[in-house]
Amino acid sequence: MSRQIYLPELLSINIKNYTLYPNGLDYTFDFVKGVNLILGGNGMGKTTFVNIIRFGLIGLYKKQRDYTRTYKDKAIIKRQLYPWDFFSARKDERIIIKGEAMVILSFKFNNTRFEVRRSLESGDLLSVFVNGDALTGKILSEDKYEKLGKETQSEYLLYSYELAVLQFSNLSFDDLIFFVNEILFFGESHKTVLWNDGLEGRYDVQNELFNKYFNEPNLDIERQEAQRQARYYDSLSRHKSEDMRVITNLLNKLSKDKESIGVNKDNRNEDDIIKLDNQLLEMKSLLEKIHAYRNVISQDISLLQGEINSTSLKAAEVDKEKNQVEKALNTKLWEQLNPQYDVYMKNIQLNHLCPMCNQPDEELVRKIEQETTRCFACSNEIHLTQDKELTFKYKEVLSIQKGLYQSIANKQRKIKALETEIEELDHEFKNIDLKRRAIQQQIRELEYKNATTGGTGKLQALYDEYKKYSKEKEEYQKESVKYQTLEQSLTKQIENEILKNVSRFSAIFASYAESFLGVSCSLAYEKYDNTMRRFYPVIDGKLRRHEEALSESQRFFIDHSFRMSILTFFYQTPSFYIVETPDSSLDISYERNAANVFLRFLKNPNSIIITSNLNNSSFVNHLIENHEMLFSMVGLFDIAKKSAIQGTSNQLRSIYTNIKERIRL
Amino acid sequence: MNKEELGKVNIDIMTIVSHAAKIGWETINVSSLQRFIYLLKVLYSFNSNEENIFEGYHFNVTMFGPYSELVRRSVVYLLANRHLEGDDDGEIRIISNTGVDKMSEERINWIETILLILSKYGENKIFSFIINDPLYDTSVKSNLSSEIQVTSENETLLVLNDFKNAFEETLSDTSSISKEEYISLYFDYIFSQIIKG
Repeated sequence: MSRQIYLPELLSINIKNYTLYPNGLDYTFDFVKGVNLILGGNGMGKTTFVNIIRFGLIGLYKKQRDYTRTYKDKAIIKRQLYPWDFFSARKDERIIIKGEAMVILSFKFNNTRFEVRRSLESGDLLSVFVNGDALTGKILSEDKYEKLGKETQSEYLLYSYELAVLQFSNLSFDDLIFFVNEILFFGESHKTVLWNDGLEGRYDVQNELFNKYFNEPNLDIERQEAQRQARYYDSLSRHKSEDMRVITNLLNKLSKDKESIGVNKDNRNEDDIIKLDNQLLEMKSLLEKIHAYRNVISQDISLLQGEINSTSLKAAEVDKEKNQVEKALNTKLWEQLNPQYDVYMKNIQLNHLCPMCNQPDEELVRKIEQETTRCFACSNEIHLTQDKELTFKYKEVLSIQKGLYQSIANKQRKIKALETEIEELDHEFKNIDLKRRAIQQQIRELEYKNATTGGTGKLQALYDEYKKYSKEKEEYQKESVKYQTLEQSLTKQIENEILKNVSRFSAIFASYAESFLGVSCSLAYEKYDNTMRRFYPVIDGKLRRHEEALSESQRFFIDHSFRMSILTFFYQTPSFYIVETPDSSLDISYERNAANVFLRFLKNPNSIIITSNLNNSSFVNHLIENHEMLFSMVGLFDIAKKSAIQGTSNQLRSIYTNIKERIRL
Repeated sequence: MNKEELGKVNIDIMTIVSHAAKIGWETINVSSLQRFIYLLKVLYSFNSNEENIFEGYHFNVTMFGPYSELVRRSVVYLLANRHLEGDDDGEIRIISNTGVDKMSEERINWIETILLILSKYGENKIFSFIINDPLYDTSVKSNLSSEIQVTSENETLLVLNDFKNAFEETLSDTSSISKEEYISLYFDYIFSQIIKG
């Protein structure tokens, strides 16, 4: 079961005594369920404004509490924080005012009203009112609070706030930090979450979100624990390999000098075993690598095969359409065609065979592709008509059909190439495996010989040590495999739960993504490279595993769609979505579509908070031209520093005034 | 284009259509053929632990059920060469004997067994079996765009094997019945359990 959670609904923000906005030293903004525009030129504090909203909710927390990735034990790292002077550093020191700079943010969880007051000087949480009642607790900076033990934390206001959040939102404070930072806020860095798989130090949002919120969170904790144990034992076993390697090196060194220390013949045997053992290890690791690479290729083939099937189905549809157009083109001429003509053509297109002798004939395939209106046998014109519209339609259908069949043929070629690669890998695998078996056999024979003759050489202690490590290594590996199996079974449970929600989730995603791209979109829940299953966008029938395959603005809006789908999926009560400069990368033809994505999100009562420097004013215009939509604006032009306002072009100011007028209307 | 691959599929399709005609199905719909071959492949892994002899077919989830491009190509080839007549997106009928039964005894038997099940339950029942097939269901649910993975640990088999144990408990003596009877009885059981209505 997916969890029932309540995300914050923003009501109002009041910023006091903050000299970054010297003309608004007691500035209040009421959020509307609709578009909330934060409009301003460079340096006016657009980003700071949205950061203050975030600060009001979650303070200076940059990252929620998380397990470390170390194997040693389940050490928990502290939450990460922005520096305490994050906001005070942006103050204008030339303006002297009495009173502390602070923000008072009002919001709701379900029907419970919160009023949170935080200092923009020290970064501290100053007071919290829940439905008008003040929470109790001592004031402390988040930095110091995080250094305290759980027992001592309970006397502080920060702790009372966390408890209240949990009580009314069903979100732990860490969950809230996660949602605000990773889902509700699309910051200036424009980092996407859909494709982010946690590599390169980034946060794997999908993993966190779906494992935790589409499932009982305990299941994921167990899974992570099993994963950690598997890694732990695996690393212990690697340590033993390292110890074994040290002994091998030592023995190698000694064997160079063996005459002088009087190593006898019997010990040579042990020496050989260790050398062979090392070779065996190398081969095993090589075989594993080949196996893993083979899997990757197989997945690629499977994906291509899938694409061929769906393209072929589309082509079958286009074929039908072509037949209809042909009939309409000239029924008389149609009757003159051999009744088998159409199926002969298909046989050339699909099977690349001459329909007369059934020999492969690529030349014929090219011929029918280029001379689409001529007979494949004699090249005479066959579909003659005076009807220009029909001719145009016919050519259009032919060109679509050609594209589809070419795409199938290309993919088939790719599959062939990949299959050849697999054959080569299999060959290599077989060869190495044969060698491995031979070595294994040799080792067995040597060990047998040793067992019957016994070894009492001077290096015996070293050999014994080696054997001991080797045995320990095996045991650690067994443990690691045990936990891996457990992890897999838990993963399966989690995935099955998510599967129940895929079609609903994908349909929500489609409604957003399609309104931006204008082609069919869905989410596939697939598995690649031995990771857990993840969602991947399928755009116009093609699965996009990597974001690089899309243009910048496509990528951002697919990501907006994904995040808004999450918010829609969990929708209980109104919430918000903050996007910084969504219009920065938009190409003119997508502006209206982009606006539609946001307007769709607002079909449920929600607040969208957008910053813009009006680089692309028609995007904003598309948003406000919808008169049913509530619209409000943070007028940074009215409250920001004079220098910044003066530096702004007249054009920008006149657009600003226009928008302001339109809001008043 | 691999002619050898196409040749094998041609033989399969000719054999299937010919045997279907013998039990009274004069014509067969191309999408039924797709479903039938899908069933051949998926259930084969249940029948045998060895390598799947229908491995060469790759199916995808579509609105019309399982779909393999190879099947369509073969139907077009057979129509162009007048082994079949009809339409590649409608009903087809066999008009030659070329290729029929040019395959291993085991393959023929398996095709006959599945046809037997089909004739007993009717196509609609089989189609609802496919729709309820856990493997197919997972592919639909995940919006898979890659082919349906028919491997030894696939989900259909896990479910079918679970049923198998329960089913065998209902039989007094499994050794007294033939393989065909076993499968037929087994499907009686399956349908009574997983297909409602």
